[in-house]
Amino acid sequence: MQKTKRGRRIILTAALLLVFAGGLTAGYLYLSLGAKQQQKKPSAGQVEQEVQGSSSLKIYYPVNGYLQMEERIVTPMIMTREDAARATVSEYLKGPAGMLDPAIPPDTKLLGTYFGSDGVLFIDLSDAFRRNFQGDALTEYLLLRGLYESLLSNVSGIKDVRLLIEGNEIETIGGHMLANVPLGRELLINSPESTGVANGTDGK
Amino acid sequence: MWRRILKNKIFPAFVVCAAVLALWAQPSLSAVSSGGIVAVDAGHGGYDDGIVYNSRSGVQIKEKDVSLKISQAVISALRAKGMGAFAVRPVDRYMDISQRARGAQAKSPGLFLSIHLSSTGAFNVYVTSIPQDQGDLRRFYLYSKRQRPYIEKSRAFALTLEQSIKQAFPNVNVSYTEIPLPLLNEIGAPAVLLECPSPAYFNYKDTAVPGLIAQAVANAVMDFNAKN
Repeated sequence: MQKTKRGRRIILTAALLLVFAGGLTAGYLYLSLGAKQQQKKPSAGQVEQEVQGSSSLKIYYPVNGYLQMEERIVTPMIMTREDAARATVSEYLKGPAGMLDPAIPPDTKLLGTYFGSDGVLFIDLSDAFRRNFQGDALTEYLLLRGLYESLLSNVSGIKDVRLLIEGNEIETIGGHMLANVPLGRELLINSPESTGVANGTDGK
Repeated sequence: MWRRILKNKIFPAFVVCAAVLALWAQPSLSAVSSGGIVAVDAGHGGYDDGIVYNSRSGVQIKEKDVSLKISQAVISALRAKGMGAFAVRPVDRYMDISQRARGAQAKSPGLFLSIHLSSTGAFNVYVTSIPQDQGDLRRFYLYSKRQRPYIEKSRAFALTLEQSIKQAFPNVNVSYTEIPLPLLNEIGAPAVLLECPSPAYFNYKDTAVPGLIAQAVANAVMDFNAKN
């Protein structure tokens, strides 16, 4: 009798454990498959342009509260995605043509670009990017968004972009946005349109 | 027997697990508006000067100082109207975004206001943007754990604040923008970030200016509380 009771208890415990393990597995599969499906979707920029074989870059600059696209021709011809990443950031840091007071922090140098094994592109910039930033919340948002959009438009196979300053992660560039998280995850949660601003009703 | 076990043991266990998961994922609504105390955050601070304006006379005006001055005036104006208010950054020291969120949340505010300066001559009122794509659960919850239940109230407060500032400063533009702002995302109350005009356009040396802004903010809080 006691043996039967004990046996039932063991079966019951095993069943509960199975339900719990099943739930965990289902949750994990759901989340990981969702992530994979999202990664498979090519971004509009990647479909539109592969830089290999071309030396034309699309750069998105923050200008007067919006992102403004400029096409830049670079030489020599870009052959690898590492070249494309370097050329894109270098052109971005030059700022938009003819702007006297650009939102891009002056004197910023590109220290390096690295591809992580998970497809995340690391951009290492000099401290001037943080030190010389002068702008409000929207300017900071567009500064990071412009960099991200430019890289996505010109470099193939990027899963996300992370920012380093002098080789280190820093919490923020200008005190409004986080810079120590992948930029895509941080900036594109609401996928605003090309202006980079959702529901903007500027009263000017 | 198996049916009984399924009914009496496994099904209740499943329901309990589901309830625990749901509670974990969905932020509690019980913390809504605890008595209307207002958390006022002065942007930047310490080594983070924020926007630095160099006047023609060689005077340097730093955003961290102006935001502190305005936030102190706002707290005084709110208290003068009989409302509770506290400073998230009461002195000139650096606080990172998560420290500010924790500092504000510790007192369960009914309203949160972060004060900054704009790069332009306009007032800018910001509310954080909330992801629309509910298909990706990780993003959905990761970035809106606390703010999501309050987003409509945040928008309502932003609108009230916009109107109050327009009344107080009829010749100054006021804009409304939604962008993802990590500080506001972490606040479990209606939360707005207000940028006041750049020192290039506003004379913050005039002691009346922070007071006027503070009055406009206090009036907006009064109106908002009356409607909600």
